Amino acid sequence: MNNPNGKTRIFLPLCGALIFLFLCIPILITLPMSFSDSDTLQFPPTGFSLHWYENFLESPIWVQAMVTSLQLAVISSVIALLLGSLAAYGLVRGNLTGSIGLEAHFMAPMIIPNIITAIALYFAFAKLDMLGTFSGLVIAHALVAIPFVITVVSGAIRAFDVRIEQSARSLGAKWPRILVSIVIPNIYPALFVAWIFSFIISFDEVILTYFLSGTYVTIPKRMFTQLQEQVDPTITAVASLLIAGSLLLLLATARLSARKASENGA
Amino acid sequence: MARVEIKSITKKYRNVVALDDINLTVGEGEFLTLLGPSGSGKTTLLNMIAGLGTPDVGRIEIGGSDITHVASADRNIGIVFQSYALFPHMTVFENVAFPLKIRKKPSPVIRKEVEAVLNRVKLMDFVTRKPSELSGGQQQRVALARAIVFQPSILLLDEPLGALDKNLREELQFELRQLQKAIGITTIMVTHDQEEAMSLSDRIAVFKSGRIEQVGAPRDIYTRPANEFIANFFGANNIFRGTVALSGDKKVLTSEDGIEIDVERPEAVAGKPLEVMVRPESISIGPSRQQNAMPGIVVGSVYLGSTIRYRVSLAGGRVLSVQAPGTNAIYSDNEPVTVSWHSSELQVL
Repeated sequence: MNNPNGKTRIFLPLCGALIFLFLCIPILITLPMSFSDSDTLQFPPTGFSLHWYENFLESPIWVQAMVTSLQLAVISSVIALLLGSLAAYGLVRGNLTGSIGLEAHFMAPMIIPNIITAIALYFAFAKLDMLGTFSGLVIAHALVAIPFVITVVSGAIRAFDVRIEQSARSLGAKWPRILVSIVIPNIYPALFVAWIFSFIISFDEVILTYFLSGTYVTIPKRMFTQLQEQVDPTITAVASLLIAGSLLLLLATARLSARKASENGA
Repeated sequence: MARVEIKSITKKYRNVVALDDINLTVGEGEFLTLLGPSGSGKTTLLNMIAGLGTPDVGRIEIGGSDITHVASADRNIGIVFQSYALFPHMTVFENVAFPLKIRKKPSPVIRKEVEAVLNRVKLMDFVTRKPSELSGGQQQRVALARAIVFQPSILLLDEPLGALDKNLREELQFELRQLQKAIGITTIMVTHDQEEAMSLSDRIAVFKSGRIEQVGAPRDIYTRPANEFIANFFGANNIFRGTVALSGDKKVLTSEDGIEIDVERPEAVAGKPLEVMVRPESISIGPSRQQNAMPGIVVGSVYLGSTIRYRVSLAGGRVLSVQAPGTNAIYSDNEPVTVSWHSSELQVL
C-alpha cells in the first residue's frame, strides 16, 4: 500500500466514491421529493414547493407525534446512558467472576431480533398492566439502546489507564469523586456518542413501539400508518427533517471529539 | 514518616502462590527496594501496601496500625507508577493540587504547598502545561510531586524510572535519592533492575517465586549473595560447585566440570560439597601466571569504554565472565590467555 501502482490509485478512491454514493441514494431521492409540488410520491419531482413542510407543521397529529418522539428519545436515551455507562464501568473495572456471561446478557437486546423482544415485553407489560403506558415505552427504548451504550463506553473505559484511577484513589479520592473529576472528563466524547446513539435508536424505533405504544404515536409509527393509509409527500418532508437532525448531531460529535483531542494535545 | 511492617503475608491466585509467608520490616525514613524478576511477587506486595489488593493471610501495619483492610483512599500513601498515571485533562498545577483539594485545604495553602513542591522538582516553569506537553522525565517529576505534596506517611514507587532512557534515568535516580533523603520519607520501590536497586536503596529485598531470598544493604547482597540465584541476578555467573579434597596441605575444590580451585577458607572442609563464586571484576586476564591461573581462550568481548567484558572458555568448555579495566591491553577473539584471581576474592555461597 505504501507505493500504490496506477491501478490501485484509481481503483481505491473509485470504490470509496461508489460506496459513498450508494449510501447517499436514499437521501438523494427523499430530499428532492420533499420539495415537490405533486400530490403523490414522484421521482424526479415535478416542481418546487414547501407545501409538505407546511403540511407537517400544521398537522396536529404530526406535531404531537414529534413531541412524543422527542420526549421518549430524550428520557429513554438519558436512562440508557446512565445505566449502560454504569454497567460498562462495572464490566471493565469490576474484576467480577462470570463477567463474560454478564456482558453477553447485557448485549442480548442487540442480538435478539427486536420482534422477539417486542413480544416478550408485550406479555410482561400485559401482566404488569403497563401496556400502552409512556413509562413502558421508555423502558423498552432504553432496553434496546443499552447494548450500544455499553459497547461504546466500555471501549473508552478500557482505553483509559486504570493506573490513573488507582492514583486518584491513593491520593485520597473516593469512588464518586473519581468518577466525576477523573473518569468522566476523560471519556465524555464517548458518553456523548453513546447518548446520541441511544437518542437516534429511540427516535428510529418502530417495532417495539408498534407493539407497546397503545394510543401513543411516535414519528416512525405515524410514518408507517401514513404509508398504509394514504401516501403523500409529507413523509418525505418528515424524513428530510430527521436526516437534517441526525446530520447536526453527527457534526456535533465530530467537533467534540476534535476539541477533546486538541485539549489533551494528543 | 512511618515504619511499615509486613507480617506473614500469603496470597494465592487459583493454584499459583504469588506470595508465600512474607515477613518484612521497613524502618522509618528507609528506602527499601523489592527486587526480582517479573512474576516474583514484588508488585503484588506493593499493590497490597497501596490498598490495590488484599492478602489471603497476614497483615500490613503502617506506623503501628493495621491497614490490611483499610481503603486505599484512607491510607495516606503516595504512589508513583511507571506509566506516570497523571490526570491527562488537568494542568501540572491541578494534578499536584488534586490530593490537597480532596483534603479540603484552603486555596492559598494549596497554592503555597504546590509551588513549594514544584520548586523542589524544578517544574515551576511548567505549571500551566498539560501532561501531554511534557517530556517523560518531566511527567515523572510531576507524578513524584503529586505523590509527596500531601505529606503521605509512606511513598511507593512502581518501576518509577522504567520508561525513561538511560541517561535521564541515572539523573533522576540521583534526584530521587536526594529528595527522599531530604524529606526523610519511608519509601518502598519495586524494580527488576538491580543497578537501579543498588543505586537507590538502603536495603534490598530480593524476591523469587513469591518468597524473599535475601534482605540486606546493596553492598552486602552484592558481595555476599545468599545463593546462586542472587549471585546470578547481580550479574556474577562464575559459580563453581563441587567437592573439597586435600592436596598436600592445601584445600582444593574440584568442580563438576573438572576445574581445580584453591579454597583456603574455613568453610571448606575436606570431603564436603562446596559452592563458590568469583566476580567478573575480580578476575585478572593476561599472559601472567599467578596462583590459580588457568589457560583459556577468548570467545567474545564487549568494549564498554571504562571496562571490557570478556567471555573466556576454559579447558573442558566452561565459560567465565571476566571484566577488565578499559585501559588494559585488549585481547581479541580466539586469543589464548590466562585468567587468575586471589583466593581471597572467592565468595562461598
